Amino acid sequence: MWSASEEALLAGLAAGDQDSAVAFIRRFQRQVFGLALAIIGDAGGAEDVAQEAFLRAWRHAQAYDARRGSVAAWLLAITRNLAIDALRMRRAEPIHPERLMSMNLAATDVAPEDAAVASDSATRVRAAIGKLPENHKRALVLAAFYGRSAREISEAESIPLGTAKTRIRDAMLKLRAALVDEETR
Amino acid sequence: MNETCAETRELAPELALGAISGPERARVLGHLSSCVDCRLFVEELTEAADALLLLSPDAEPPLGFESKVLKSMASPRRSFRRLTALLAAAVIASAGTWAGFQLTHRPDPITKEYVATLRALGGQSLRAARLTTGQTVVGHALLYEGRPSWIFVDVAHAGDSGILTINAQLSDGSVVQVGGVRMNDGRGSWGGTLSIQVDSIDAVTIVDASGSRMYRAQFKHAE
Ligand SMILES: [Zn+2]
Repeated sequence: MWSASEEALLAGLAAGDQDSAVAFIRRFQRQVFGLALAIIGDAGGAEDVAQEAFLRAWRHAQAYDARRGSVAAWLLAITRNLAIDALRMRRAEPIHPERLMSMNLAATDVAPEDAAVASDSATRVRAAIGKLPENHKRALVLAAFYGRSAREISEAESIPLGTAKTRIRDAMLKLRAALVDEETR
Repeated sequence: MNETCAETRELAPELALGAISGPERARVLGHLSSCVDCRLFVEELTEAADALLLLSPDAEPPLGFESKVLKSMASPRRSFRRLTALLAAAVIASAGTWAGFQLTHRPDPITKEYVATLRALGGQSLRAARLTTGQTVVGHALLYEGRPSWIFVDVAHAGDSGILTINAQLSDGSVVQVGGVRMNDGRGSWGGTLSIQVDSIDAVTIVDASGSRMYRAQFKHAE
Protein backbone atom coordinates (compact mmCIF):
# COMPACT_ATOMS: atom_id res chain seq x y z
CA MET A 1 0.00 0.00 0.00
CA TRP A 2 3.03 2.31 0.37
CA SER A 3 5.28 3.29 -2.48
CA ALA A 4 8.23 0.98 -2.93
CA SER A 5 10.54 3.91 -3.46
CA GLU A 6 10.52 4.82 0.24
CA GLU A 7 11.76 1.37 1.10
CA ALA A 8 14.34 1.48 -1.67
CA LEU A 9 15.58 4.77 -0.26
CA LEU A 10 15.80 3.26 3.18
CA ALA A 11 17.72 0.27 1.85
CA GLY A 12 20.13 2.65 0.14
CA LEU A 13 20.48 4.55 3.37
CA ALA A 14 21.28 1.34 5.23
CA ALA A 15 23.90 0.44 2.65
CA GLY A 16 25.60 3.78 3.23
CA ASP A 17 24.77 5.11 -0.21
CA GLN A 18 25.22 8.88 -0.21
CA ASP A 19 22.67 9.57 -2.97
CA SER A 20 20.04 7.53 -1.17
CA ALA A 21 20.81 9.37 2.04
CA VAL A 22 20.31 12.74 0.34
CA ALA A 23 17.07 11.61 -1.29
CA PHE A 24 15.86 10.09 1.96
CA ILE A 25 16.51 13.29 3.92
CA ARG A 26 14.87 15.47 1.25
CA ARG A 27 11.86 13.21 1.13
CA PHE A 28 11.13 13.29 4.85
CA GLN A 29 12.81 16.34 6.38
CA ARG A 30 9.72 18.56 6.32
CA GLN A 31 7.62 15.92 8.05
CA VAL A 32 10.30 15.04 10.59
CA PHE A 33 11.18 18.64 11.40
CA GLY A 34 7.48 19.58 11.45
CA LEU A 35 6.64 16.91 14.01
CA ALA A 36 9.66 17.75 16.16
CA LEU A 37 8.76 21.45 16.04
CA ALA A 38 5.14 20.76 16.94
CA ILE A 39 6.18 18.76 20.01
CA ILE A 40 9.23 20.75 21.15
CA GLY A 41 8.08 24.24 20.19
CA ASP A 42 11.40 25.88 19.32
CA ALA A 43 13.32 25.58 16.07
CA GLY A 44 16.71 24.94 17.65
CA GLY A 45 15.52 22.02 19.77
CA ALA A 46 13.46 20.69 16.87
CA GLU A 47 16.48 20.76 14.57
CA ASP A 48 18.54 18.71 17.04
CA VAL A 49 15.75 16.18 17.38
CA ALA A 50 15.20 15.96 13.61
CA GLN A 51 18.90 15.48 12.98
CA GLU A 52 19.09 12.73 15.59
CA ALA A 53 15.99 11.07 14.12
CA PHE A 54 17.65 10.77 10.72
CA LEU A 55 20.76 9.37 12.34
CA ARG A 56 18.75 6.76 14.21
CA ALA A 57 16.94 5.84 11.02
CA TRP A 58 20.26 5.42 9.30
CA ARG A 59 21.64 3.31 12.13
CA HIS A 60 18.61 1.12 12.42
CA ALA A 61 17.49 1.08 8.81
CA GLN A 62 17.92 -2.67 8.64
CA ALA A 63 15.71 -3.16 11.65
CA TYR A 64 12.80 -1.53 9.81
CA ASP A 65 10.04 -4.05 9.22
CA ALA A 66 7.76 -3.21 6.30
CA ARG A 67 4.95 -5.30 7.78
CA ARG A 68 4.72 -2.93 10.69
CA GLY A 69 3.88 0.23 8.79
CA SER A 70 5.20 2.74 6.31
CA VAL A 71 8.71 4.15 6.38
CA ALA A 72 7.23 7.56 7.17
CA ALA A 73 5.32 6.21 10.17
CA TRP A 74 8.43 4.44 11.41
CA LEU A 75 10.57 7.56 11.01
CA LEU A 76 7.96 9.76 12.67
CA ALA A 77 7.68 7.36 15.61
CA ILE A 78 11.44 7.66 16.07
CA THR A 79 11.12 11.45 15.88
CA ARG A 80 8.30 11.51 18.39
CA ASN A 81 10.23 9.41 20.90
CA LEU A 82 13.32 11.60 20.60
CA ALA A 83 11.25 14.76 20.97
CA ILE A 84 9.60 13.35 24.10
CA ASP A 85 13.01 12.47 25.55
CA ALA A 86 14.26 15.98 24.80
CA LEU A 87 11.17 17.51 26.43
CA ARG A 88 11.50 15.35 29.52
CA MET A 89 15.06 16.53 29.94
CA ARG A 90 13.81 20.10 30.04
CA ARG A 91 11.34 19.10 32.72
CA ALA A 92 10.86 22.69 33.88
CA GLU A 93 9.10 23.84 30.75
CA PRO A 94 5.38 23.14 30.54
CA ILE A 95 4.16 21.41 27.41
CA HIS A 96 1.70 22.98 25.02
CA PRO A 97 -0.71 20.50 23.48
CA GLU A 98 -2.74 23.49 22.29
CA ARG A 99 -0.16 24.06 19.61
CA LEU A 100 -0.93 20.73 17.99
CA MET A 101 -4.62 20.95 18.70
CA SER A 102 -4.99 24.38 17.16
CA MET A 103 -3.15 23.28 14.05
CA ASN A 104 -5.92 20.77 13.71
CA LEU A 105 -3.34 18.16 12.82
CA ALA A 106 -3.30 19.49 9.30
CA ALA A 107 -1.09 17.45 7.01
CA THR A 108 0.24 19.32 4.01
CA ASP A 109 2.49 18.61 1.07
CA VAL A 110 1.99 14.90 0.76
CA ALA A 111 4.26 13.44 -1.92
CA PRO A 112 2.16 13.02 -5.10
CA GLU A 113 2.67 9.23 -5.28
CA ASP A 114 1.38 8.88 -1.72
CA ALA A 115 -1.41 11.36 -2.10
CA ALA A 116 -4.07 8.90 -3.21
CA VAL A 117 -3.47 6.65 -0.22
CA ALA A 118 -2.61 9.29 2.33
CA SER A 119 -5.36 11.73 1.59
CA ASP A 120 -7.99 9.08 2.01
CA SER A 121 -6.92 7.74 5.39
CA ALA A 122 -5.71 11.16 6.49
CA THR A 123 -9.05 12.73 5.64
CA ARG A 124 -10.89 10.04 7.56
CA VAL A 125 -8.64 10.22 10.59
CA ARG A 126 -8.77 14.01 10.61
CA ALA A 127 -12.53 13.91 10.35
CA ALA A 128 -12.69 11.45 13.25
CA ILE A 129 -10.47 13.72 15.35
CA GLY A 130 -12.63 16.69 14.44
CA LYS A 131 -15.67 14.98 15.91
CA LEU A 132 -14.00 14.22 19.26
CA PRO A 133 -15.00 16.22 22.32
CA GLU A 134 -12.30 18.80 23.09
CA ASN A 135 -11.11 17.09 26.28
CA HIS A 136 -10.85 13.71 24.52
CA LYS A 137 -8.82 15.32 21.77
CA ARG A 138 -6.56 16.86 24.36
CA ALA A 139 -5.99 13.52 26.11
CA LEU A 140 -5.28 11.92 22.74
CA VAL A 141 -2.72 14.57 21.78
CA LEU A 142 -1.04 14.32 25.18
CA ALA A 143 -0.71 10.54 24.84
CA ALA A 144 0.06 10.30 21.11
CA PHE A 145 2.46 13.21 20.72
CA TYR A 146 3.82 13.70 24.24
CA GLY A 147 3.93 10.08 25.36
CA ARG A 148 1.96 10.86 28.49
CA SER A 149 0.47 7.86 30.28
CA ALA A 150 -3.11 7.90 31.49
CA ARG A 151 -1.77 8.44 35.01
CA GLU A 152 0.27 11.47 33.98
CA ILE A 153 -2.68 12.91 32.09
CA SER A 154 -4.97 12.43 35.07
CA GLU A 155 -2.50 14.32 37.27
CA ALA A 156 -1.84 17.09 34.77
CA GLU A 157 -5.53 17.62 34.02
CA SER A 158 -6.73 17.00 37.58
CA ILE A 159 -9.13 14.27 36.51
CA PRO A 160 -9.61 10.73 37.87
CA LEU A 161 -7.37 8.06 36.34
CA GLY A 162 -10.39 6.20 35.00
CA THR A 163 -11.55 9.32 33.18
CA ALA A 164 -8.16 9.82 31.54
CA LYS A 165 -8.13 6.18 30.42
CA THR A 166 -11.65 6.45 29.03
CA ARG A 167 -10.82 9.58 27.06
CA ILE A 168 -7.76 8.00 25.47
CA ARG A 169 -9.58 4.75 24.75
CA ASP A 170 -12.67 6.37 23.24
CA ALA A 171 -10.57 8.60 21.03
CA MET A 172 -8.40 5.73 19.80
CA LEU A 173 -11.36 3.47 19.16
CA LYS A 174 -12.94 6.16 17.00
CA LEU A 175 -9.75 6.60 14.98
CA ARG A 176 -9.50 2.86 14.56
CA ALA A 177 -13.11 2.68 13.42
CA ALA A 178 -12.42 5.39 10.85
CA LEU A 179 -9.52 3.37 9.41
CA VAL A 180 -11.12 -0.07 9.61
CA ASP A 181 -14.18 1.37 7.92
CA GLU A 182 -12.01 2.48 5.05
CA GLU A 183 -10.45 -0.97 4.62
CA THR A 184 -13.76 -2.81 4.52
CA ARG A 185 -15.45 -0.42 2.18
CA MET B 1 -12.46 -13.60 24.86
CA ASN B 2 -11.43 -14.20 28.46
CA GLU B 3 -10.44 -12.00 31.37
CA THR B 4 -6.93 -11.44 30.01
CA CYS B 5 -8.39 -10.44 26.65
CA ALA B 6 -10.61 -7.91 28.41
CA GLU B 7 -7.65 -6.42 30.25
CA THR B 8 -5.61 -6.34 27.05
CA ARG B 9 -8.37 -4.49 25.18
CA GLU B 10 -8.51 -2.06 28.05
CA LEU B 11 -4.79 -1.29 27.80
CA ALA B 12 -4.42 -1.64 24.02
CA PRO B 13 -4.98 2.05 23.16
CA GLU B 14 -2.24 3.15 25.56
CA LEU B 15 0.04 0.41 24.25
CA ALA B 16 -0.51 1.50 20.65
CA LEU B 17 0.33 5.08 21.62
CA GLY B 18 3.49 4.03 23.41
CA ALA B 19 2.13 5.50 26.62
CA ILE B 20 2.03 2.53 28.97
CA SER B 21 4.01 1.57 32.07
CA GLY B 22 6.63 -1.20 31.99
CA PRO B 23 4.81 -3.91 33.98
CA GLU B 24 1.53 -3.36 32.13
CA ARG B 25 3.36 -3.39 28.85
CA ALA B 26 5.03 -6.69 29.66
CA ARG B 27 1.72 -8.23 30.69
CA VAL B 28 -0.05 -7.13 27.50
CA LEU B 29 2.79 -8.20 25.21
CA GLY B 30 2.82 -11.58 26.92
CA HIS B 31 -0.84 -12.05 26.11
CA LEU B 32 -0.43 -10.82 22.53
CA SER B 33 2.11 -13.52 21.81
CA SER B 34 -0.61 -16.12 22.26
CA CYS B 35 -3.83 -14.34 21.22
CA VAL B 36 -4.40 -13.60 17.53
CA ASP B 37 -7.58 -11.58 18.06
CA CYS B 38 -6.01 -9.21 20.54
CA ARG B 39 -2.94 -8.89 18.34
CA LEU B 40 -5.08 -7.85 15.40
CA PHE B 41 -6.89 -5.36 17.62
CA VAL B 42 -3.62 -3.81 18.77
CA GLU B 43 -2.33 -3.70 15.18
CA GLU B 44 -5.37 -1.73 14.10
CA LEU B 45 -4.90 0.70 16.97
CA THR B 46 -1.23 1.03 16.10
CA GLU B 47 -2.20 1.92 12.55
CA ALA B 48 -4.43 4.62 13.98
CA ALA B 49 -1.58 5.92 16.14
CA ASP B 50 0.70 5.97 13.07
CA ALA B 51 -1.93 7.83 11.07
CA LEU B 52 -2.10 10.41 13.82
CA LEU B 53 1.63 11.13 13.67
CA LEU B 54 1.39 11.42 9.89
CA LEU B 55 -1.14 14.20 10.32
CA SER B 56 1.27 16.46 12.16
CA PRO B 57 2.00 19.66 10.25
CA ASP B 58 5.04 19.86 7.98
CA ALA B 59 7.64 22.57 8.47
CA GLU B 60 10.70 23.66 6.54
CA PRO B 61 13.88 22.87 8.50
CA PRO B 62 16.51 25.60 8.89
CA LEU B 63 18.96 26.21 6.04
CA GLY B 64 21.82 23.74 6.02
CA PHE B 65 19.87 20.98 7.76
CA GLU B 66 20.47 18.43 5.03
CA SER B 67 24.24 18.88 4.96
CA LYS B 68 24.37 18.79 8.77
CA VAL B 69 22.62 15.42 8.81
CA LEU B 70 24.85 14.05 6.06
CA LYS B 71 27.91 15.25 7.89
CA SER B 72 26.92 13.60 11.14
CA MET B 73 26.24 10.36 9.28
CA ALA B 74 29.75 10.41 7.89
CA SER B 75 31.44 11.30 11.17
CA PRO B 76 33.44 8.33 12.47
CA ARG B 77 33.41 9.73 15.97
CA ARG B 78 29.65 9.43 16.15
CA SER B 79 29.49 6.00 14.59
CA PHE B 80 32.27 5.08 16.91
CA ARG B 81 30.34 5.87 20.06
CA ARG B 82 27.37 3.91 18.83
CA LEU B 83 29.43 0.91 17.82
CA THR B 84 31.34 0.80 21.04
CA ALA B 85 28.20 0.97 23.12
CA LEU B 86 26.71 -1.93 21.19
CA LEU B 87 29.85 -3.89 21.26
CA ALA B 88 30.56 -3.35 24.91
CA ALA B 89 27.12 -4.79 25.58
CA ALA B 90 27.88 -7.81 23.41
CA VAL B 91 31.22 -8.36 25.10
CA ILE B 92 29.76 -8.09 28.56
CA ALA B 93 27.08 -10.57 27.58
CA SER B 94 29.63 -13.12 26.42
CA ALA B 95 31.38 -15.53 28.76
CA GLY B 96 35.05 -16.11 29.52
CA THR B 97 37.90 -13.74 30.18
CA TRP B 98 39.07 -14.04 26.59
CA ALA B 99 36.29 -12.58 24.55
CA GLY B 100 37.79 -11.62 21.26
CA PHE B 101 35.42 -12.79 18.57
CA GLN B 102 34.06 -12.07 15.16
CA LEU B 103 30.63 -10.87 15.98
CA THR B 104 29.16 -12.30 12.82
CA HIS B 105 29.27 -15.66 14.58
CA ARG B 106 26.90 -14.59 17.29
CA PRO B 107 23.34 -14.29 16.01
CA ASP B 108 21.81 -12.62 19.09
CA PRO B 109 19.83 -9.38 18.63
CA ILE B 110 22.65 -7.08 19.72
CA THR B 111 24.99 -8.72 17.28
CA LYS B 112 22.44 -8.56 14.50
CA GLU B 113 22.10 -4.86 15.00
CA TYR B 114 25.82 -4.50 15.25
CA VAL B 115 26.45 -6.43 12.05
CA ALA B 116 23.91 -4.25 10.27
CA THR B 117 25.70 -1.18 11.56
CA LEU B 118 29.06 -2.51 10.54
CA ARG B 119 27.75 -3.23 7.07
CA ALA B 120 26.26 0.24 6.86
CA LEU B 121 29.62 1.70 7.77
CA GLY B 122 31.46 -0.43 5.26
CA GLY B 123 33.84 -1.83 7.90
CA GLN B 124 35.40 -5.26 7.69
CA SER B 125 35.48 -6.33 11.30
CA LEU B 126 35.03 -5.21 14.83
CA ARG B 127 36.70 -7.18 17.58
CA ALA B 128 36.44 -6.85 21.29
CA ALA B 129 38.48 -8.22 24.16
CA ARG B 130 38.23 -7.77 27.88
CA LEU B 131 40.90 -5.75 29.61
CA THR B 132 42.08 -7.73 32.61
CA THR B 133 44.55 -7.60 35.41
CA GLY B 134 45.14 -11.09 36.75
CA GLN B 135 41.66 -12.57 37.02
CA THR B 136 39.90 -9.23 37.30
CA VAL B 137 38.08 -7.67 34.35
CA VAL B 138 38.59 -3.89 34.37
CA GLY B 139 37.16 -2.92 31.01
CA HIS B 140 37.15 -3.53 27.28
CA ALA B 141 39.25 -2.82 24.26
CA LEU B 142 37.66 -2.65 20.83
CA LEU B 143 39.31 -2.73 17.45
CA TYR B 144 37.44 -1.64 14.35
CA GLU B 145 38.86 -2.39 10.95
CA GLY B 146 37.62 0.00 8.28
CA ARG B 147 38.43 3.36 6.79
CA PRO B 148 39.64 4.64 9.08
CA SER B 149 40.34 1.86 11.59
CA TRP B 150 39.74 2.71 15.23
CA ILE B 151 40.59 1.60 18.70
CA PHE B 152 38.51 2.23 21.77
CA VAL B 153 39.24 1.37 25.39
CA ASP B 154 37.02 1.66 28.41
CA VAL B 155 38.56 1.15 31.86
CA ALA B 156 37.08 1.17 35.34
CA HIS B 157 39.48 0.44 38.17
CA ALA B 158 39.22 2.14 41.54
CA GLY B 159 42.21 4.20 42.52
CA ASP B 160 43.58 4.82 39.03
CA SER B 161 44.34 8.41 38.14
CA GLY B 162 46.30 10.42 35.62
CA ILE B 163 46.94 9.48 32.03
CA LEU B 164 47.66 5.83 31.19
CA THR B 165 49.39 4.87 27.96
CA ILE B 166 47.66 2.55 25.49
CA ASN B 167 49.99 0.27 23.56
CA ALA B 168 49.40 -2.22 20.78
CA GLN B 169 51.47 -5.38 20.88
CA LEU B 170 52.04 -6.56 17.33
CA SER B 171 52.47 -10.03 15.88
CA ASP B 172 56.13 -9.35 15.12
CA GLY B 173 56.79 -8.71 18.81
CA SER B 174 57.06 -4.93 18.59
CA VAL B 175 55.05 -2.54 20.73
CA VAL B 176 53.48 0.65 19.38
CA GLN B 177 51.94 3.42 21.44
CA VAL B 178 48.46 4.14 20.04
CA GLY B 179 46.94 6.53 22.55
CA GLY B 180 46.35 7.47 26.15
CA VAL B 181 43.41 7.35 28.50
CA ARG B 182 42.80 9.88 31.25
CA MET B 183 41.44 8.29 34.43
CA ASN B 184 38.97 10.25 36.51
CA ASP B 185 37.75 8.72 39.77
CA GLY B 186 38.91 5.33 38.58
CA ARG B 187 37.12 5.56 35.21
CA GLY B 188 38.28 6.46 31.77
CA SER B 189 37.69 5.82 28.11
CA TRP B 190 39.51 6.78 24.98
CA GLY B 191 39.08 6.23 21.27
CA GLY B 192 41.10 7.20 18.25
CA THR B 193 42.02 6.23 14.73
CA LEU B 194 44.70 3.61 14.09
CA SER B 195 47.45 3.94 11.51
CA ILE B 196 48.55 0.30 11.93
CA GLN B 197 46.85 -2.81 10.52
CA VAL B 198 44.21 -4.10 12.89
CA ASP B 199 44.96 -7.74 12.13
CA SER B 200 48.58 -7.23 13.10
CA ILE B 201 47.57 -6.52 16.70
CA ASP B 202 47.92 -9.45 19.12
CA ALA B 203 47.07 -7.58 22.29
CA VAL B 204 46.34 -4.14 23.69
CA THR B 205 48.10 -3.23 26.90
CA ILE B 206 47.71 -0.27 29.21
CA VAL B 207 50.69 0.93 31.20
CA ASP B 208 51.18 3.61 33.82
CA ALA B 209 53.78 6.40 33.85
CA SER B 210 56.47 4.09 35.22
CA GLY B 211 55.96 1.79 32.25
CA SER B 212 54.77 -1.20 34.24
CA ARG B 213 52.00 -3.12 32.55
CA MET B 214 48.69 -2.78 34.31
CA TYR B 215 46.00 -4.18 32.01
CA ARG B 216 45.91 -6.43 29.01
CA ALA B 217 43.35 -7.28 26.35
CA GLN B 218 44.29 -10.33 24.31
CA PHE B 219 43.01 -10.33 20.74
CA LYS B 220 44.84 -13.37 19.44
CA HIS B 221 45.82 -16.51 21.29
CA ALA B 222 49.50 -17.25 21.33
CA GLU B 223 50.10 -19.86 18.64
ZN1 LIG C 1 -6.86 -11.92 23.81
